[in-house]
Amino acid sequence: MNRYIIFSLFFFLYFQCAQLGLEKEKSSGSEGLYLLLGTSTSEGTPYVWDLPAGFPTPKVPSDNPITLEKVELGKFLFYDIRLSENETQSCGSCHKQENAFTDGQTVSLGSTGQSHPRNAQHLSNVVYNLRQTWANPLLKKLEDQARVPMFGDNPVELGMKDREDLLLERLSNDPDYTSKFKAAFPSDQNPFSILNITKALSSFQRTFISGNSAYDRYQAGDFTALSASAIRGKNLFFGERAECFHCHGGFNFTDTILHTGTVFEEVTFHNNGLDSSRFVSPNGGLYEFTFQESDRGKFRAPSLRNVDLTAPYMHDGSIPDLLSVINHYVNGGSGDGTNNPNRDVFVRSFSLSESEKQDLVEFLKSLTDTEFTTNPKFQDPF
Amino acid sequence: MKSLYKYIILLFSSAVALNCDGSSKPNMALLALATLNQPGIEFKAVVGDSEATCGGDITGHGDSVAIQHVAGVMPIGLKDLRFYVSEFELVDQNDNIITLDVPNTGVWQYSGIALLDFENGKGSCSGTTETNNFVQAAVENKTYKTLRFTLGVPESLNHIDYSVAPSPLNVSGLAWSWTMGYRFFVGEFLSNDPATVGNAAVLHMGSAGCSESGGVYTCTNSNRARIELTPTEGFNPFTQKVQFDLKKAVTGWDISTGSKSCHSMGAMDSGTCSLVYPNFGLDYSTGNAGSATQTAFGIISK
Repeated sequence: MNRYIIFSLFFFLYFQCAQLGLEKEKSSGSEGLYLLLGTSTSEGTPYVWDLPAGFPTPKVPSDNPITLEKVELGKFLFYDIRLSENETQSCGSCHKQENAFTDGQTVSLGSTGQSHPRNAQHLSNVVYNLRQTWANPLLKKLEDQARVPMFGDNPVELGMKDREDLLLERLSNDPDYTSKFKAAFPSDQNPFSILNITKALSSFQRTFISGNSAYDRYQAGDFTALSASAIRGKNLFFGERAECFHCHGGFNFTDTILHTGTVFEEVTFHNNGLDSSRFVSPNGGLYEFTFQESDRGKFRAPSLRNVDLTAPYMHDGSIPDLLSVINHYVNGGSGDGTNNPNRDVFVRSFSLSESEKQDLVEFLKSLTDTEFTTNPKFQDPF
Repeated sequence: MKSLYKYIILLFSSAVALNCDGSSKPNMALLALATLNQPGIEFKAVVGDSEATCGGDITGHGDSVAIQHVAGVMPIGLKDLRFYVSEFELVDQNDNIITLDVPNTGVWQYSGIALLDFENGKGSCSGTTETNNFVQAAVENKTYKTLRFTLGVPESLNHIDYSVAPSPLNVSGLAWSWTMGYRFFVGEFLSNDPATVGNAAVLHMGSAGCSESGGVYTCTNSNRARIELTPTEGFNPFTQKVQFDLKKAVTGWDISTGSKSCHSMGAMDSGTCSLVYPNFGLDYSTGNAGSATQTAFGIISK
């Protein structure tokens, strides 16, 4: 009898375990684990997009529906220096609103003083990015990207590696956060988690919509919004001489876009003819992921929204101003980048007069959206 | 009969805590009881003749490996030493291959993978307080010919979301967010020698050259070392253990002139990585088994 009971128990346990194991195996990514951990799905007040004319509806990951409560929490987290180990930096330290969420530095400095190899990206319309960062083909979602500055150590940015407990303790001891986390993740028994932090940060960043520049007003029918010079620059930008639009086209002035209407995801990286000395470790570009020599020095074409506010330029911040960028392209590259075999076919020398270059600069300046850079919705709440 | 029920309840809760639910926090008392009763494979970490510990200088490492940083002439401080081991196999005297059952424990083991953790966050160590030197697994008290295991997380679990993964696959110090994967091995130390103070050695190994399409990841360079230990006297897990020697692992690096670091990013850091990968039996250019036999792991008596 006893033996029978024990045997039955073993059989029961084995069966249960096997089933559980099977469930874990079957669950692709995290959905199955969410169920196991009791993580919530969509609750809260749905965020309603207020999109400029011509902007498609953003695509939001199904496992992180955007709500007002998450956006509100994310705003606090984005500007909270408690997200860095030594409490000196927040996300907002390298992504400043007045600079369209970049920092004006050649390359950014981490919380422990370490130089980052890259120039901080601006975050205008980041919700439409098909890939995040300059050259990483693996980082698709803002949620995944957020973990790099928080926990990465090469280089150290916020320096929270192995300090999850400290981070969660800091936040959960703050009564303001207790209510904000609870409101953002109402069905989570314990809403304080790294996953929820990344979800809230991403939700806030997804609201960074910029589409009210002089150029946009011109497009909407206000023909006084652009100067004659900017209009000449616009025609050069979209014309067959300068051909800027090939890599910087569409409503967001880039060639990789994601929205609810996207059926075919085209991911492109370009070598834009920078001097190849800039493609050495750790700035190899796409090559760092594919190990293909032909991918060396290929980076994502960033959106040119608010480009006048995001100097210096390129992945390494090596070009100081807009006129220098135009000269780089007119020259078909810089240094030995002009004969780099990986150089994009559209990066080839062409001629522009000095006044035409100035016209292009004027057009690029017309992409500045001061409503975006002064909107209280995005400001530091502390 | 009453004691039988007690036994059943204990058995039941042990089994649930230790074998089934990788996400729950186990009862530590039960875990301790189980560790005593359950066999497994013990590990030890050394730097030459000294134990690899946090919180002070590691000196007097002997001179069997003639390299500057750990030759006994340079005191070092440990910063980090953690690694995942998986895919354990034993080969018995009749050449039968026994695949080890490495149960989920909710803490150090999940899905056949164990995290070995030799740093305790003290002194110059940067990680967590907890340590682990034991892989709980079903082994017999007898002498086997060979022990094999993989240094790393199998590809099937290498790209799961670590922020919601069961322990020990949710440790941020081992996660490699940049590649959406894991660092299989993290070993770091710095020089405490007055002449070269602060010079560091950083060795991080994980799969590289990774791309993704339709949710499926492909990594050009696996960078998983397959460790095979066949001591002449055989291996009895009850009387012997596996020793990892950090000194042997970084043979080829000299930090007396400057810091060395290898982050497994392909040719981006090939100059430093290619010197130490052979110590794990790997060829750095391909990430596969190379021409060299691994020297970092060995078998010693308990």
